[in-house]
Amino acid sequence: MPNDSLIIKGGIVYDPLNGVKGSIKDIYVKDGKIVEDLSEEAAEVIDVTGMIVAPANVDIHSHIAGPKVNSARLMRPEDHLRDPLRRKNGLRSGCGFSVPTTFVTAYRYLLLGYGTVMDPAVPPLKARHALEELEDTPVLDKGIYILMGNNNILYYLLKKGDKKSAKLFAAWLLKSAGGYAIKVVNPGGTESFKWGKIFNSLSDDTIWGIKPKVVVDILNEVACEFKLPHPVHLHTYNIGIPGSYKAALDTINAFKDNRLHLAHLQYFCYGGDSWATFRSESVKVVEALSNYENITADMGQVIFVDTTTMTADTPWEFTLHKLAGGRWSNSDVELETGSGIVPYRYRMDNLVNSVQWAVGLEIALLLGPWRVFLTTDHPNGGPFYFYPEVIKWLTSADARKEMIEKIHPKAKKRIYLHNIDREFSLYEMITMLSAAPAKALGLKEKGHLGAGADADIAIYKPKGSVAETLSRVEYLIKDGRVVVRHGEIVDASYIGRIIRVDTGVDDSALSNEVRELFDKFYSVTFSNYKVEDVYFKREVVKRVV
Amino acid sequence: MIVLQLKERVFLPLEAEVISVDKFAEAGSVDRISKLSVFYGRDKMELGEFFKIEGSIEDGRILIEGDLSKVKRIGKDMSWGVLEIHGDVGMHLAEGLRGGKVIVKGNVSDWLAMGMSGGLIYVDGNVGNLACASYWGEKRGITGGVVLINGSVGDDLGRRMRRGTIVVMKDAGDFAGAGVIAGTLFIMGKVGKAPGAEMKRGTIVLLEEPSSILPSFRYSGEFRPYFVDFYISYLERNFPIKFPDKLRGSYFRRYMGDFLQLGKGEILVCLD
Repeated sequence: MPNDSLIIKGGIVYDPLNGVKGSIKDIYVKDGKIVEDLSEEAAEVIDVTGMIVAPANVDIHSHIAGPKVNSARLMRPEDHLRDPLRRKNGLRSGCGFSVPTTFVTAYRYLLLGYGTVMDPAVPPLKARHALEELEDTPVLDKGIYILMGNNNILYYLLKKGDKKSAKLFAAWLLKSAGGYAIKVVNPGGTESFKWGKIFNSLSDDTIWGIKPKVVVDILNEVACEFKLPHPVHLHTYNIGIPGSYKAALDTINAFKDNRLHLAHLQYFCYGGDSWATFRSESVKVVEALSNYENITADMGQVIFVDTTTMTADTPWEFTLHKLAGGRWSNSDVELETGSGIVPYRYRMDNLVNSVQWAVGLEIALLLGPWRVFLTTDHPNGGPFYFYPEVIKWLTSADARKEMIEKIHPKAKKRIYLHNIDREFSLYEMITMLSAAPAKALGLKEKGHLGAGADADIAIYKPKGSVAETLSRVEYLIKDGRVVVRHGEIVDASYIGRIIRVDTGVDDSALSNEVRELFDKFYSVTFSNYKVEDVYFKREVVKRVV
Repeated sequence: MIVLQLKERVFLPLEAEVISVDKFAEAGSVDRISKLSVFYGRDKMELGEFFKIEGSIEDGRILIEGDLSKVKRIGKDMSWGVLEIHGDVGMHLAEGLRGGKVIVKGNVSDWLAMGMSGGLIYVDGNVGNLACASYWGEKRGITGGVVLINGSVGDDLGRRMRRGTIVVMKDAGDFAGAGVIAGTLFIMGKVGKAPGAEMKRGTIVLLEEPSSILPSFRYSGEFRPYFVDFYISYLERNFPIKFPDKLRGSYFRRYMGDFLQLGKGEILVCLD
C-alpha cells in the first residue's frame, strides 16, 4: 500500500451507526483499517477542515456484471456511442450510458463515494462470467447474489419431501458459485414461462406441484440456519403491473416472521386494475411494512431517461417488450432461471412513468433511511450515476414540487408525493447511502467509521445543497488508499475484493442423486460446475455456520 | 460530385456515420464537411484528417476512394443522393438507409443495410455476415428497399426482413432468410444450412438445389410461377443486374413453411 497510515484531520464526521452526527474529529487509518489513535509523525495527514467525512457508500442492488449486462451491451451500440469516456490520467477509456463498461462503472461509482457494490442477480451457472467482469471493475468491493427461486433441482428435492437435502443443496449452491446472498426472482414464474404458462402467485402450485412460498420458506431457513449475513433478497411476483401492491402485501404477510429484503420495492406499489387506472398504492405497502422492522427494501427509483431494463423475471420482460415495442432479448439458463432485456425510455409525459417516479420517492420518504435504501435498480430504473438527482428529490420538497409540475398532469391525482413534506437531512442521506445498506447486508466492517472498520471513507466538500454536496467526492479512501483526491481519481490500479460467504457445505454433503441429476440434465458435469478458487484472487470470505 | 480520397490506410475502426449525402448537404461547403466529427478508436477527430475532400455536394453525389475496410457506418440514415465507393468497406454500411443509392465496387463487411427501409444498394463484390439482418433483439430486419449483391454473402442473410428485395448472384451462407416476415430473396449460387428457418411469409428463390430443407417445410408441388419472370424482368430493367437465363420460364419445386411459425413462407427451387 502506498500509504499504510493516514490521518484525516479536522473533518465534520457523520457516522450514523456509531451515533456521530456532525462532530469535528480526526479519523485514523492504519493498514486499511480505521484505528483508535495514530501518531502524526508516521502518517500522511489529509487536512479536510470544513469537509464532510462519512463512510463510503454501499449499493445493495445494482446490475453491473454478468451475461445479462453483456447481452445488453451488445444490444445497444447507440447507448455507448452517446456516452464515450476517453482515457485520462491513467484511467481506462470506456463508454456506456445505461450499461457502462466495467471500468467506467467503477470510476463513476468511485466519484459518487461508493466503496461496495452488490450485483443482485447471477445464475450459479454464469457466476464465472460475473466474477470475471467484477475483477475488471477496479477498486470497489463487490459481491453477487445467487438466483435460486426457479432452480429445478431445488424444486425436485422439495417435491420429494427431502427438505434437508434441499437446504444443503441451496447452501452448497451459494458456496460453489461464490455468492454472498440468496436471490429469488419471481419464484416459479420464470420457469413456468419456459413451459408456456403464466404463473403469478406464492400460494398456488407451480408446474412441479410445489408452492413458491415453500421454496422461499426453505431458502429463509437456509439463511437462518447458516446465519447468512444478508437475508433472502426477494423480487416477488407481479412486478411492474397495475395492482402489483397486492403481491407486495401478500409477500409481506407470507414472510413477516423472517428477515427479508424486498428488492426494488417501487415496482410493487402500484394500484389500479388496468393501465388506465394505474395509481400509487405506496401507502398501503408502507403501512404493512411499518409493523415489521425485520423487512428492509430498496427503492428502485425511476429516472426519466432512456435506459435498458434487465431482469431474471422473463415473463415481465416479455410483457414490457409487448408494451414498449423495439428490441427484446430472452435467454434461458438451463435448470436455473431465465432472463430478458428490453431497452426502455421513461418519459415525463407518460402517466404510468410519472406515477412510477413518484412511488419510489414516496416509499423512501415514508419508511425512512434505515428501512429503504437508495437504488435505481441500475439500470432498470435508470443508471446509477443519476443518484444525485434522486438525492435532490429526497432532500428537497421544493425540487419535488417542481418535478410534479413537469410530469403528466393526471399523475398528481394518483400519487401521494405532493402530500409529503419530509426532507431528508445530510445525516439521513448518509444513513441511507452507507450505514443502513451495510447493516442490512451484514457487512460489519462497512458503513461506519469506528475502530476495526474497513477504511472506506468518503469525504465531500460542502456545497449549496445536500444533493450537490453528495454529487461528487473530494476524497475517497478505499482500504486506506487515497483513490480520489481533489475530486479526481488518482489511483484505480487496485482490483478490489470479492465478498462471498462460505457455508461450509462441500460436495461430499450432496447425495449421489443430485450429482446424477447434474450429469443427466446440465450441459456441464458436476465436477466442472463449481467456481474454482482462481476466481477469487482478492476476496473476503464470510465464514458462516 | 464530392470526392473523398482516404489519405492513408486506417488501422483502428473509424466511425464515419457523417459520410452521407444528408449530412454533407447540411454542412454545405468542403470546409465544413472536413470539420465533421468522427471517432477514430476512442479519439474524436475531424473527417478532413483522414480524407482529402474536393468538389461540391450540390448534385447529391459522393465518391469515396481507398481501402475503407476499417471505416464503419458510412451512409447511415441517408435519405437521398448517390454514394459511390471504390474499395472495400467496413461494417454497418448503409445502416438505416431510407432512400438514394449506395454503390460499392469492392467487398463489404458485416451488417450491411441494418435497419434499411428504402433506397438501393448495389455491391459489386462479396458481403460479410448478417447482411440486411435484424440487429440483436430487434423484431425486424430491413423494412424496404432493394439490395443487389454481385458476389457471395455470409451467414444470416436477411434475417427477419419485413419487406424489400435481396438478390445475391453467388453463394449465401447458413440461415439465409431465417425468420423472414415478408419480402423476397433471390440466391443464384449455393445456399448453406437451414434456409428460411422460422420464416413466416415471404419468398426465397434458389437457383441451385439446397443441401437440405428443414423438416418443418412441406413439399407442395412443382409449378411455373409467372411472377418470377415478371419480377426478374422488372429488376433487370430498373437495376444494374443480369439474372441467369435458366431462371426464365423455368419450373420450380415449392416448399411451404416454416410450420414452426406461420407457415406461409415459400422456398422455390429452380428445376433444370
